[in-house]
Amino acid sequence: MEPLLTITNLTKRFGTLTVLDQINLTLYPGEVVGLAGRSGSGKSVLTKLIAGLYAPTEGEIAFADKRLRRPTLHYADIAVIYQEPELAENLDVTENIFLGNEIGWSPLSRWLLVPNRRRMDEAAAYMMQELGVYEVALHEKAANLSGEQRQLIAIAQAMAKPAQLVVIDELAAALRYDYQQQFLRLIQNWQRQGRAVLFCSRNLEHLMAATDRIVTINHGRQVGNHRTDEVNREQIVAEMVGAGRNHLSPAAWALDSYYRVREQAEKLLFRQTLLEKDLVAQDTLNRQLLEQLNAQVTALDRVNNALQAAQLRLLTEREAERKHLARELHDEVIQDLLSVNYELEDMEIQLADVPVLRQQLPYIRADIRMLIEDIRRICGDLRPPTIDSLGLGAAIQSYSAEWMGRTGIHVNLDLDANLGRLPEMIELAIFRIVQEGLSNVRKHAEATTVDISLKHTSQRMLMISIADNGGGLPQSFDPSKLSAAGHYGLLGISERVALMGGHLKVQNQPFRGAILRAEIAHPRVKAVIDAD
Amino acid sequence: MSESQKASHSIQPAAPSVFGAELRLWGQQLAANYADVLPLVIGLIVIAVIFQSQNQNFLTARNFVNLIVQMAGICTIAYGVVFVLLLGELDLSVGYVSAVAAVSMALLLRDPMSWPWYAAIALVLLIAAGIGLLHGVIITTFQIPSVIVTLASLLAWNGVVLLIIGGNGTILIQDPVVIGIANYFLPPVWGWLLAAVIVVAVAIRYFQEKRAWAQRNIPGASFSMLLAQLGLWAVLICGIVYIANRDRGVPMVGVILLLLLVVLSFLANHTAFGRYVYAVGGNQNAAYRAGIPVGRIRVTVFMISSIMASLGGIILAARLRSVDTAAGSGNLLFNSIAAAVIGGTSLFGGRGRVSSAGLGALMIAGMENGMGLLGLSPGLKFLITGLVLLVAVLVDAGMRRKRLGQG
Amino acid sequence: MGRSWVILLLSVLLAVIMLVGMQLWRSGRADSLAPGATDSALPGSIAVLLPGSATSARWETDDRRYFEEVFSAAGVRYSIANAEGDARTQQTQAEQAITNGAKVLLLVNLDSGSGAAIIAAARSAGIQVIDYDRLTIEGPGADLYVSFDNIAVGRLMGETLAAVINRLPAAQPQIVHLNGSPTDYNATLLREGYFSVAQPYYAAGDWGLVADQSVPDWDNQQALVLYEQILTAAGNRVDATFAANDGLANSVIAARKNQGLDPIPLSGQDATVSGIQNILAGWQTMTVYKPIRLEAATAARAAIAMLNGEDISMMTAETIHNGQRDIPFIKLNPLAVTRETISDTVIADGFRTWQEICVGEFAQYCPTDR
Repeated sequence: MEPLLTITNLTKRFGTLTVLDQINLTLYPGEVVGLAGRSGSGKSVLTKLIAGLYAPTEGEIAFADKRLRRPTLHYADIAVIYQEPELAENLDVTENIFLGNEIGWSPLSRWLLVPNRRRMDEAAAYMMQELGVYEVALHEKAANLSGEQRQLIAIAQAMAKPAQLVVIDELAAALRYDYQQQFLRLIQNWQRQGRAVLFCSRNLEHLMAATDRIVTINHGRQVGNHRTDEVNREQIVAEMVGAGRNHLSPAAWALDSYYRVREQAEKLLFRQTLLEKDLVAQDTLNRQLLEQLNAQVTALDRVNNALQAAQLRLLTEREAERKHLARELHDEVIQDLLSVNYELEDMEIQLADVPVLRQQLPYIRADIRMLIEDIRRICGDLRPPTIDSLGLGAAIQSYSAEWMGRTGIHVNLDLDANLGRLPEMIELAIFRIVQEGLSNVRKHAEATTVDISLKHTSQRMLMISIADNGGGLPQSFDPSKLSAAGHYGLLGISERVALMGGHLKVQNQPFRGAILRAEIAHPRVKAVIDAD
Repeated sequence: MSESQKASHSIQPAAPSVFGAELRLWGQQLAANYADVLPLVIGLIVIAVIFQSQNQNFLTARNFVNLIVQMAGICTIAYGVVFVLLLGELDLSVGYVSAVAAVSMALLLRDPMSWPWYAAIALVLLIAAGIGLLHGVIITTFQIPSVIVTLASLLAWNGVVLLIIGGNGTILIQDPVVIGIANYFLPPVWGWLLAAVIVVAVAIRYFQEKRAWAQRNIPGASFSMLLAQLGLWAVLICGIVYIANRDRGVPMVGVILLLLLVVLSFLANHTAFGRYVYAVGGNQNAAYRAGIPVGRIRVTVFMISSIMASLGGIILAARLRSVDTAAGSGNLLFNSIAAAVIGGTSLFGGRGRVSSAGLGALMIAGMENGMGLLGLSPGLKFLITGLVLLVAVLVDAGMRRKRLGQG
Repeated sequence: MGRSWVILLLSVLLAVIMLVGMQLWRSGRADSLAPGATDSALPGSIAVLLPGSATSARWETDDRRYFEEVFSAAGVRYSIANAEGDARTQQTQAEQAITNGAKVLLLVNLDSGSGAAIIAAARSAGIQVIDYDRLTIEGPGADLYVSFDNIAVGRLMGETLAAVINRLPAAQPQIVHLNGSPTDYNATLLREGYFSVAQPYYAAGDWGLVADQSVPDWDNQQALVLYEQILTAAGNRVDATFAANDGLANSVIAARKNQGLDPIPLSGQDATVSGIQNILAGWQTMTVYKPIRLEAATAARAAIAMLNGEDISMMTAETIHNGQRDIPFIKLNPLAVTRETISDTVIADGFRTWQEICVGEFAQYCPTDR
C-alpha cells in the first residue's frame, strides 16, 4: 500500500532553537498513529508544519506522493483539529463548520458557490448528533459559545472536510469525559472509512485506546516508534521523559499517574450527577444504620453494665461464701476438732496403761492441733478474721504481721489515721489488693522491705500503694499480656480496681523496686467517729 | 431585493393564527433583523420631516428624483467601501481612484483618442481593477496596514490625476451615453415594467421561501400573510416608480444602483466568497486555518473597492458632464466611508451590509440636498452635517453596546 | 508570487516612472531653463510661492511659464514652489526661500492668516513681499499688490450680463448668485462687483434675487448639488445666473441640462477651455479673461525692480487698504470674452488655441476661417 503521508528528515528551527530534529514518519491510509510527548516536545509544531502554518527548515513532507508547499491548508485532503480552535466569531455554528467547505451549487468557481443553507444545516445537525452534542443551536453565533462547544465545532469542521488525513493536536483537554469517549469512537470511524489519523496527545489512555502505532518525541527528537499492541505504558512514559527503562524517575511516574488520576477524576466528575442522586437515598440509609448502631451500642452498654454488676455480685457472693465457709470451718470444724482433742485428752488419761496408745495419742493430738492451726489459717485466708470486727486497718496490720513472720520480708505500714470504716465490699477489695500485692512481692520481687501505705487523697478517694525494694518490673512488662503470662495476681488487682471504679498504675521506682498504686473512690466516710 | 430576501429569510415557524397577530410577528421580526438600521431609518424620517417643514419642495417628486441622482456617486463608492470595511481594512484611495477613472474616461472619449463609450468604460474598469490589485498585493505581500498603503497611494493617484489632466483644467464630456448614465430617465412605461419585474422577483423569492419551509414541514406564514407582505412591497416599489414618473421618470442611475445592490448583496450574503469575506473580517486566523486563501480574498476585495470607486467616479463625472483638477478631492472620500459606517458597517470588520450603505448614502445625500434647498451658509452646513454624523455614530454605538449586553 | 519578486517589480516600476517623469519634465521645460537660473541657493534671488494645482490649473500651466520667461530673459536667479493647497507647506517653502537667500517673495497666499505670517517672517528678515493675485488682508501687509481688480472683474460680469438680462422677455427676471469659496477673499470682491451692478435693479424691482450662495472650496460637485437645489426650491424659475468662475458655470450648465432646461444668461471667469467651449455652444454668455501673461509679467518686472533696489512707488499711484494699512496696488484691467470677442482676445493673445477648443462636437461651433 502506498503511504499517505511521508515525513522525511523534517527539521524545524526558530532562530537557533531546534524545535524538531530529523523526524521521520509514515502514515498509511486507515492508520491511526499516536504522537506522544510532553508539552514543549514539539508535537504542536509538527502538526502546524503538516498544516502548513510553518515552513520546514529542512526535510520535507510529502502527501500522497506530492511534496507539500506552503500553504498546504488549501489541500482539501488534510483536516487539522487544533489545540486552541479558532472560529469566526461573527458567523454562526453551521457557517463555521462548513467554512471553506460549503455545500451548494456553483455556477463558475468555488468562490461564487451559492451555499445551500438547508442542506448544510441538516448535515451539521447530523454531525452534532454523531458527537453527542444536543445543546448547541446551529444559528448561534460562535462568539456566544463556550470553550468546549468551540472545540466540538472544530471537530465538526474536520468532519465536514472530505479529508484523507486528519491531524489532531491535543484537543481532549477541553472536553468532558463523555465527549472524549465519543471522540475516540469518531477516530475509529474515520479509521474504518480509510482515513489516516495523526493523533497528538499527552494522554496515554487515549493513545493506547485509539492508535495502531505510537511515535514518541522528546525535545524535538524522535525517540520511539512502536506498535501499540507491543508496547506498554511504562515504556512510552520512559521515552517521553527520556529515561532508560530501568531507571525510571519518580517524576515520570508522577506524570503518568497524573494523567491516570486526572482521567479518574473526569470519570468521577461524569458520575457525580448519578452519585448525587443516590446520595439522598444513601443518606437515609446511613441515618438508619447509625440509629441501629446507636441502639446496639446502648444495648451493649447495658449488657456491659449488667456484666459488671454480675461480676461485682459474683465477687460479693464469693466473699460472702468465703465468709460463710470460714465461719463454718471456724465455728463447726475447729470446735469439733477441739472437742475431739479434749476427748482424746480424756482418753489419754483413762488409757494411760495402754502403752501403745500412750505413745500414739500425743502425736495424734499434736496432729489435730496442727490441723486446727491449718484450718485457722485457711479461715484467715478465706476471710480475715479481724476485718469484720476491727476493720480494714487492723486486718491489714494483723495480716502483714502474720505475712512478715511467714516470709521474713519486712513490712512498713503507713495507714491513714482516719481510715474509719468503709463499706464491707470496699474494705474487702482493698484487703485483697494488699494480699495479692504482697503475694506478688514474695513471688517475683526478691525484696527485703515492703512499704504499704493507705491514704485518703480526698474525702472520697483512697490511695493504696505497695512499694518494694526488689528487682523491679522487667523491661518487657506489658499489662495487656498479664493473663497470657499467667500473672493472675496483678490481673486480679486490676479487675478489682476497675470494678470499684478506680484506676491502677504499676511502675518502677526511681532507684530500686516497683511500686503499685491504686486509687479507689468510696462513699463519703461517715463512720469515723462511730468507729473511734 | 436584498431587503426582501432578508425579510422572508426571517419568517419563523408560526402556528396558524389570526392575521393581525401574524402581522405583528412580522413587524417584530423586521425590527429584530434590522435593529442596526432602525435608527438610520428613523433619522431619515426625522430629517425628511424637518426639511419638509422648512421648505415645501423637499418632499416633491422632483426633489426625490434629484436625491437619487445626487446620492448615486457616493452610494456606488460606499458599496465598495463596505467590502473593505468588512475585512477590517480601510481604503483611503477611493476618492482619487474615482478621479483617475473619471479623468481617464474623459480623456479616452475626447478627441485624440475618441474611443467609443463602452471601450472607454471597459478600459477604465480594467485600470481600476489593476489599481485594486496593486493595493491588495502590496498590503498582503508586505503585511502593511491598508491605511498606510492607501494613504500613500491616495497622494500618488492625486498626482496621477493632475498629471494626466495636465493643462486642460476642465474637460467637458460630450458622449451622450456616458452623460446618460446620470441623466437618462426611463420613460414611464419602462418604469412600470421595471416595477413589475421587481415585484415578480420578490414574489418568487417569497414563494420559494414558503416552499422551503413547507418541505421541512414547518408551517410558514399563511397565504394571506404572504400576500399582505407582498402587497406592502408592491405598494412601496410602485410608489417609488409613480413618484419618479410624475417628474422625469425613474433615473438610469437608480436602476444601476439597484442592480449593483442586488449583485453585491448576493455576492456578500449568498456566495462562498461573501462568507469568506465575513470570516476573514471576523477572525483572520480562523479563516486561514479553514483553508481560505485570505490573501487572495483581500486582494479581490481591494479590487472590488477600486472598481466600485471608478464606477462612482464615472457617475459623478457624467453628472457634472465634465472632469476637472479637483475631481476626487473635497469630501468625497469622507462621505463615502461615512455612508458605509452610518449604515452600520463596523470599522473593525466582520459586520455590515451592502444595503445599509445605500441607506447611509441616502442619509448623507439627503442632508446635503435639504440644506442646499434651505440655502444655508457653508459654515452652518458643515456644523449640522458634523453633528448629524456624530449623533448617527453615537446611536449606532449605543445600539451595539446594547446588543453586546444582551449577548 | 514571492515577496522578493514583488519588491523587484515595484522597484523597477518606480524607477521607470521616475525616469519617464523627469524626462518629460525636462523636455517640457528645456527652453525656459537657463543654466544656473534656478540655483536658489545663491543669494539675491526671487522666490515665487504658488498656492496649488488642484483647485485651479492656471498656476502650473500659465503663471509658472510666464514667470520663467521674464526671469530668464532678465537673467535673475529665481525659484518657484507650489504648496499644493497646504498652508503649512507654503510657510515651510517661504522659510526655505528666506534661508536660501531670497530677496523678494512673490506670494500667492492660501489664506490671509498664513499669508500674514509669511509676510511677517519675510519682513523681519528684511525681505520684500509682493502679493500676487490675492491680497493678504490684515497683518503687516505686503510691499506691493499686483492683481486684477476683482471688483472690476465682478463689475464686468454684471455689466455684460445686465445687457442680456434686460433683453429677456420675462417681466421680472429671477437671478441666482453662485459665489466662490467663502474662504477666498477674491470671491468676496467678485460678488461685490456684480452685486454693485445688480443692486439698483433689485432695488427697483426689475430683477428678483432667488438665491445668493457660496460654494466651499469652489468644489464643482458641491456646486452642482447646490444649484440643483436652488432650481428645485425655485421651481426651475431661474432666468440668469452669476457664476463666479467657469467651473461653477459648468456646474450650472450640467444642472440645467440634467433638468432638461434651456440656456440662460450665465457668467464665468478665467477663460478656461471648457468655458469658451460653453460660450461657443451657447450655454454660457461670457467669461472674464484676465490676461495672466500681463499679470505675471507685471509682477515679475516689479520683483526685478525691487531686487535692483528701484523705487516701486514710481510704478503706481493706486493703493489698496488691507485692513491695516494702504498698500501700493498695481491694478490690471480684465477683459470680457463673449462669443464675438473670442478670437480677438484669448486666441489673439495665444492664451488659448482653436485646436484645444474645437474638439469633438464643439468643432461645429467654431468659425470656419480659424
